[in-house]
Amino acid sequence: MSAYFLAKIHAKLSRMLRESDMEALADADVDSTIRQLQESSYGSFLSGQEVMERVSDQLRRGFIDDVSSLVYGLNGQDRILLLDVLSYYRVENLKTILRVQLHRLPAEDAKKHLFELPWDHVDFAHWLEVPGIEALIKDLPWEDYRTRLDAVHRQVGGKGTVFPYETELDAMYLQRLIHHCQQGKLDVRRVVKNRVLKEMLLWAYRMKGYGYTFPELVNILPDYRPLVPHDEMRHLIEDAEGWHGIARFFDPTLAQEMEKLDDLDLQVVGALFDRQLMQAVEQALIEAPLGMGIVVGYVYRKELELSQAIELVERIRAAQ
Amino acid sequence: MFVTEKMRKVSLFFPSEDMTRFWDKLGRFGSLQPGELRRVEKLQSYLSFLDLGELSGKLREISGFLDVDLTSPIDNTETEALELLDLKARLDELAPAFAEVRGEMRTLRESQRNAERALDRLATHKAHLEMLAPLEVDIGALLHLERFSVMAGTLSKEKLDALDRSLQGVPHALLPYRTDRGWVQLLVICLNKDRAKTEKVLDSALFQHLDLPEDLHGSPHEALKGMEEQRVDLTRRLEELARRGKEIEEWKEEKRAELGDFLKMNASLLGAREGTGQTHAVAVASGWIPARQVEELDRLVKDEPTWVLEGKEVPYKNNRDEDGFTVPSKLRNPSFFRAFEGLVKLYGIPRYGGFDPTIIFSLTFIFMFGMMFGDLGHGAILFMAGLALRFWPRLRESLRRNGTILASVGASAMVFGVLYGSFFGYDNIIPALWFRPMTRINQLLMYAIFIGIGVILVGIFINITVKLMQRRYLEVIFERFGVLGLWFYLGALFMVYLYSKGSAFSIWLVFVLMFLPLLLMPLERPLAKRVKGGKQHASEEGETLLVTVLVTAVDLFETMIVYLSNSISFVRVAAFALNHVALSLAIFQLGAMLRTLPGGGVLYVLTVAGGNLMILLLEGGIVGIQALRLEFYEFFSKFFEAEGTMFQPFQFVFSKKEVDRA
Repeated sequence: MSAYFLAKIHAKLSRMLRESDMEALADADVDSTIRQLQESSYGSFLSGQEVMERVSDQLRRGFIDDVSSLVYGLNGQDRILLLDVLSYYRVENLKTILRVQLHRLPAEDAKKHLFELPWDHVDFAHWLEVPGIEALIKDLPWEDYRTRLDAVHRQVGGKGTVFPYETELDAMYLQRLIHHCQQGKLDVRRVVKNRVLKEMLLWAYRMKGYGYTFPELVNILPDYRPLVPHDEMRHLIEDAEGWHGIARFFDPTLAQEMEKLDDLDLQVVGALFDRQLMQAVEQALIEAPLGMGIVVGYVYRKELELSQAIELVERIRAAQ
Repeated sequence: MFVTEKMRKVSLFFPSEDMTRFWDKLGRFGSLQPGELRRVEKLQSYLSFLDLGELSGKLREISGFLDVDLTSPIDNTETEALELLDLKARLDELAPAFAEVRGEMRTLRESQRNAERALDRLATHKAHLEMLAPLEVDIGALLHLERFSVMAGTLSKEKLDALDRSLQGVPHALLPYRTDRGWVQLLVICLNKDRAKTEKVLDSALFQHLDLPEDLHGSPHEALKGMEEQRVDLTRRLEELARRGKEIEEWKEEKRAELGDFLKMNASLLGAREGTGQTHAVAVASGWIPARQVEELDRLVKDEPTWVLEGKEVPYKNNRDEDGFTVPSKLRNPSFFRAFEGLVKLYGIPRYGGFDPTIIFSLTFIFMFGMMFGDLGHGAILFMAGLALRFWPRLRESLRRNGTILASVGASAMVFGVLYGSFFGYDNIIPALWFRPMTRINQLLMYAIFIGIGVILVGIFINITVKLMQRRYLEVIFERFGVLGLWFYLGALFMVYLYSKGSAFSIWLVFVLMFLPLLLMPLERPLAKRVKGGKQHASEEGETLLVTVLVTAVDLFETMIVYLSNSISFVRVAAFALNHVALSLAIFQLGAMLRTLPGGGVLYVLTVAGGNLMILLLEGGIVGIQALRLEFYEFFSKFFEAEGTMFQPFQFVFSKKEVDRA
């Protein structure tokens, strides 16, 4: 990783919207919100003339453009790590396409939900038009996706449900990150582990809410054992009060907040994981200022910033 | 010619017992269109009508089963028309045999479907059982253990470890017995009481159960052997069923040949009988017949001493008879023009006593097509294609008629091709006897407008003449395309002529020639009211003066626009003539460009040939449509009242071969 690239990341981190910026935006009207967002890293994507409906799309484009500049600045294992982190968006695109294909939804409506991922060098939109899931799978340029989705298709094709495909894609994405948790340096491990645990646990609890038992979830989730032992995972998911055990993954202050919860609130737990992530990035800045942990942390912080900004814009729009 | 044929409304009286013979004779005579006596209210209390629905249903059922098209021609002119009782007896005699064969067909088809389904299922079972081939155990016994459940199936290799973990709380055994690329085939064994729980977990791992028959026993090899025997049995059974099906089809073919004509003729007769009124002993039929064929019908009736014919002429003035039924229209044109009747009918059927424009339509259509598509070469191809269609043996009559149209327009295109000096788009091969379109564009445009003016004037004259014949005098004078319309149009043309010559003219002349007729036109409504002396139409009662004035003004403005646009519309005749030349030029340019490339000679020939083919098909089609459009919108709209219904006589249609033989 070059010194120039790292300096760029540090500069980008300093340009991110702070909590105070967000609070100021929350009280502003539409025009001043857009004006303030223009002064942020999203500026080049907001001309100031936006129709409010398009602001969220533009913010998303700004985000993708920003992180894609990171992809091209890296090489070797670092690049592989970042691409695996960003494969989340590829998975989201494929899930959208599978839903359109399986439920025969209008392709035009779905197009605007697809992320344009310059690092993937594929036109996701054209897969909305291919004749059926088999053709889609055959056309995918990534062999592992082809093999795994083909296996799912052979087992459940014709049942008319998109769920098995989606879970397979999510599991693949998380499994890769778990692999990086095993192989990566400490700074990367901290950041990625936080993210994987957040995604996996929230997913498992949601599924439990839909009536899935722990043994069923074991078949759906990625192999979590490098991060959480099997028995502990069973306790976290299966036992009625097991979820309190999540506190173990937080630092003492956040763990205390977790313990204060009477009921499992997935939104609060998600927010605690995000705060833990911020701390992991801060820690990486101090302990490994030249490591990949900062890059990955920057992506996750940027995602967080994006989702907060979009939520804000949507809220202002709704109040208009 | 020009006017639909004069019709006679006739009533025929004959003894009821002669009904079959009567309709048999009329069917062979083929010129009477039966009326709808059943719908004449005043006759309902005097006449009764047969309800032959049940008999007709039986007949149609047999025809449907034998795939006999009841509207197709009858092959044998000697086919016998049966009396009702005989027909009933014949159909009753046939019915059991048909019911039996139909039942057998149904069972046969059901058996075929079942056998095919069983064969498919067997193939699946066999494929799945082959997967169990490595296990040399009694599969039936294994799958039906007393205390344990054994499930056989496939799983993605990657899921095996997770499956084992997920079943940790359940006593179980996973026994993989075969791996194939990314797949594992395995037996999952658990206690009977845990089966439901285990199956749920297996589902979440996307475990695919093998589809195996319930009554499986012995080793997989033994079971496979048994399945092969079943497959052979099923295949043999299917062959037997197919053979029987073929025999039944042959029987149907035989019956079709035997009964086809009988069914067709008696189906027509049943329909005619149902429309015949009866008293105790006398039957009554009514209908329309072309006046010139009444004598022939009279002779036919006079052959029978007890049959009576009464008839009266239907005047052209009304297109409905005294019972309110529309009098059918029969077009009568020389055989050459009959080919064009189909095109006229696309617009509509002229009302009874209305003008039949087929001849004028044919001549103007042929003329305009030729003028728009003038090319000796292209015309010759159309002409020859038309002749081939016209005289090719064993072609349908409709295709022969299309051949006549194609040959006519082709000949016209050839004549104009000679006049324009155009041969397959080349303008340097033959001399132009008249002029080349591109050299005198303005002149060509003017000629096109003159043609338009001519066609519009002919349309107005036809309208006036027809209305005069029908004694609709007010409409003759005041209608948009009546005398006043003609006055306005001729006046406007005269003014344009004066203007083009640079002559001076007074405002009074303009008023008298153009505006006076327009101002007189609205007088039709009050005059009609006065003449009829009746009440106003409901919608007119509430009409204020302002609305009347506005409607009238808009109407007059529309009249002017219609005349103007109709005349200008004919510019397309010249435009398409120019278009033909321009398209040819474009193709030659393209050919010349390609000629400079390697193998240019061949490319040039291919381009010119392909281009000419495109002109022939594409432009030829467009020109045809445009000529038709001009006829329909600029010509027919002046006079055509498409309120008629086609004359459809009751007749037995015999196949041509049989008629020739007879």
